[in-house]
Amino acid sequence: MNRALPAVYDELRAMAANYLRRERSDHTLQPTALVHESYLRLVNQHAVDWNDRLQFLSIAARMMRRILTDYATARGAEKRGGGAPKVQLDAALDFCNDRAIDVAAVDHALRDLETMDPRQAQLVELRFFGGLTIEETADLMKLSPATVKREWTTARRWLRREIEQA
Amino acid sequence: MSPDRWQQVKNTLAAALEFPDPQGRAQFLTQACIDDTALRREVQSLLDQPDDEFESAAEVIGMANADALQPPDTGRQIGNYQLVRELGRGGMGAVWLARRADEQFEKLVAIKLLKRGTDTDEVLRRFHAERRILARLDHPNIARLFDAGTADDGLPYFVMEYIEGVRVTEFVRERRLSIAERLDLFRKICNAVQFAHQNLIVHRDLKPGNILVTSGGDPKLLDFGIAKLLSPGDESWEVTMAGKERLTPGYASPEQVLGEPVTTVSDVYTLGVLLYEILAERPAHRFGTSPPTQTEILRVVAREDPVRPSVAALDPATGRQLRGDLDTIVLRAMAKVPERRYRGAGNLGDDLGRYLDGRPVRARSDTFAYRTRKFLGRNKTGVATSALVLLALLAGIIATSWQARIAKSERAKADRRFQEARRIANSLMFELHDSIKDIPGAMAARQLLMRRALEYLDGLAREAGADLSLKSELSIAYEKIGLVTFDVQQAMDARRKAATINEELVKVAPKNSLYRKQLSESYGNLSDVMKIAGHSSSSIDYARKSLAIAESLSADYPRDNEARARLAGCYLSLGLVLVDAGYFEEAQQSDLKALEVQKKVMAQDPSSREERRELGAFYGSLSNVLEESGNYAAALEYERNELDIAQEFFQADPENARSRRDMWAALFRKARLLGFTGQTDEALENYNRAVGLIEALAVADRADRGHRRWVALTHFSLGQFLATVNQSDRARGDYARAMAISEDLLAADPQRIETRRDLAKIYEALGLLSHGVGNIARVLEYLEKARSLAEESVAQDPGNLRARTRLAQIYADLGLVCVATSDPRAARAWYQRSLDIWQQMKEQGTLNGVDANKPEEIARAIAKCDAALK
Repeated sequence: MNRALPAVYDELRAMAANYLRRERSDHTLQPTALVHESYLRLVNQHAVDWNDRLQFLSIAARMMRRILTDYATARGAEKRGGGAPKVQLDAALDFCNDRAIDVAAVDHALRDLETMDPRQAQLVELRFFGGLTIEETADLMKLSPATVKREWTTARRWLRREIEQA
Repeated sequence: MSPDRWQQVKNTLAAALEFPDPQGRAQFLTQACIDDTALRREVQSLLDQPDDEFESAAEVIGMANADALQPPDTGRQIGNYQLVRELGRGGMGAVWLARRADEQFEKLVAIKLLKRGTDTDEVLRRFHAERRILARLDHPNIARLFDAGTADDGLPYFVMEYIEGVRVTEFVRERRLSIAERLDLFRKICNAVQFAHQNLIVHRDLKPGNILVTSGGDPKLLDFGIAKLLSPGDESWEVTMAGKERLTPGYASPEQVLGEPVTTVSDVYTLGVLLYEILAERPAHRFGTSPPTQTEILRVVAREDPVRPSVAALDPATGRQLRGDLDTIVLRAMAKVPERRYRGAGNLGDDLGRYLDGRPVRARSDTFAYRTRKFLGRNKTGVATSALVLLALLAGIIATSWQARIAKSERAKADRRFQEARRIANSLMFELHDSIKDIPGAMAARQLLMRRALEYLDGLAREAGADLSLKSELSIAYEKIGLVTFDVQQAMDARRKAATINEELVKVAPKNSLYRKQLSESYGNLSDVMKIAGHSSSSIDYARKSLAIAESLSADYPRDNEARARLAGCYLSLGLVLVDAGYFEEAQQSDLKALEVQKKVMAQDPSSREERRELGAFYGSLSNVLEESGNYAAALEYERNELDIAQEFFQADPENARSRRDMWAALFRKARLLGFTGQTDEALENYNRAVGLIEALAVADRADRGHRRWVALTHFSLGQFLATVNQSDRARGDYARAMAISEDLLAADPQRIETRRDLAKIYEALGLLSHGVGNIARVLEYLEKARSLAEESVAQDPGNLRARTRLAQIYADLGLVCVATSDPRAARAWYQRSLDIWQQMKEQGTLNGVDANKPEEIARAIAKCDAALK
């Protein structure tokens, strides 16, 4: 499975760029669709034996986090630097404006949460970056949906506050 | 926050959230945190957070899009069009997707609106310039201009073809286009740019964002917003000045960043940058600072050479495909100096077409090597059998270039001629030679090549002066000549010249490892040629000198595995010359040492196929020396290893000349050993296979006399074997064949002492065979011939022990014949000569173990003769 990780990353990055561009008129993304479609494509293209679909989803969530964070960081640097040449990826998120939640800040706060509560941090990653539903997350993490809901609600508030304070 | 504390906070928060209303939550908190005000503050601050759309990263982004995409202009009426959504923003304004409002069928267009507040006269003028330009450009791969006008608020707009597509760089990546497909796509772009150029329009701002590709795979060029009109009388000057501040550093040409005049060739540069990115999937330029400073842009764009696309390529497999022509084409288009680029976008496109057809591309300077490689590439099957064609081609190219060189030298400065000659010689020596060396049948071509090259080289050497790098190149060139020429004298001369140059270089720069390495190699090569020419002592001396340098280099660079590999090679070479000269004991020591070092080399680099292949030679050498010493059992052990390796490579690539040669060598040795140990059937089988292989190789390359010598030796050895199993008639056939070839070789090259020694052996064997059938006259005839050659060999090469043992043996044979003809006096005289040699060797301590009994044996024969004479 590890061998396929770069492929997963590239695939998701390309798809994220695509989706964000194509979907912009609809104002929303379909994160679950994105991750699930990439799963199907990867299984077909790389003959990877994903015997555990949920395992893939957790990897995909990790990848999406990296992609979006890298992207947000690059954009941040670009904004600070003024008229820098645009990074390759930027076409996708050109329309992302300053009022959006700073994905890089989410990533940062999430890293703090990881030291305090790794399980909860992973859960946030799956929900926030992987677009998994409460049920999928519960299934994947072998928790009850009620627990996921509880963890998610508390984490969300904590993250909000951390980001605002940052 | 500590994990424990967080659990406490989290649990309290979750419990508080169970209450639907703020009052309930506050009450709960007061009770729950009665002893812990810090906890209460913490939870309260979390409760104060809005529980809103913080659902997923993607939705957050979607939200942001919604914000960005709902400015007040949506739905606005511009002329006959209604704005649908914004497509993008640039320095000049925004581009909108718009719908024609008054038509029955829906028509989508792109509308470019000037930014509010920036509608200065200057921008308006630029805008009008763009309108006129686009009106002239009617091309399937260029976005059309339909209409232009002024909106209600007085701002100008224009209506363009709406292109639904993705950036060209994304397109090739997403579709995973092959290199050929990418090039096809790119040629369309070139043609479109060429079309614009023919209309005297320079784009000036080509970049991936301006080249979209539709889902049908058609590229479309957008935004001639800063194009410069070349036609006189236009206000192009303003356009240029205005454009200067708008350049995109990653795609701007050197003349743009330097503020120099911009021409159509500037677009060629940018096309080169785009092609680079499309092929390598990496941008051609990488700036060290972000944003790049003016100095950084100048450095990267105007001065620094880009990394070759094949090296930069994201995917190594792609990189391999780019190596060669595509690298050259891209870099030619991206030349810093405009004059060095393709003259137009069309020329670039045409060259890509030539590449796709497998024809020589123009970007290459017409080196011989290159043209020949192309020729060979197109005619792979014919080459082996048509060395003549190759020769003719080479001769033609060389003659032309020679004349060109003379013509040039008459008018150009000496320095330029010098560089030119150097380049040609290098090209001949390194590129062409290497490109043909593994093709069977290339020997004749290689020799002609070398003769011509030598003429250049000697000229160069005279002018080289103190130029160390040139001298170093020269020495390599001389070495190459030494390697391929079959004229011993020429090889010796060339290699001496190389060694002399390298000795000089090491003297000037004693610590330079390259020069030391070259000197070591020079000595090794000299040792080789000395061996062939029959100077065994100096051959051994040079091999030792070569080894000494290799040893010190490996000691100085203990982590350099290549240095270690060379050291192993030096031990092996020394072993070879020692065994050839008859020093079996020392040879065996050297071979064992060689094997030991080679195993260290392989431990460092266990996956190297090349080293594994080399290992075969190490085993073969050991097997050989053990065989010579009569230690057949041990020899067979090593031989098995050699054969295993040879088989491995032979099976992988049975057409490869080297694989076949190695296979022959292993089979040959094996056959000999089997013969010596009485395994008759197996020996014969191996001999037959060995003969088949080497005969085929020799046929493939008639001019390579090395192969022919091996044919002779294989037949000779087979003949010896057949004679021992009492198949004299068949033996005679093989001897005869060995003799015919060797006599031929000697006539062609009298300097090759080793051929003389071979022939002496063959004549001797033929003589003894005749003795067996009782034809004394024939016996004497052959033995006389053998004797005369052997005596010459000893006289010419006193340091070679085998030449001496051969002669001693032949004298003894003659003695035996005289015994058979009842002439004890003559017999005694021959035996005495034989004994003299053996005795002398015994006194010198150079008598090998296998020959230890010879002096006594001959002495007994002499005693018998004495008895008969009494």
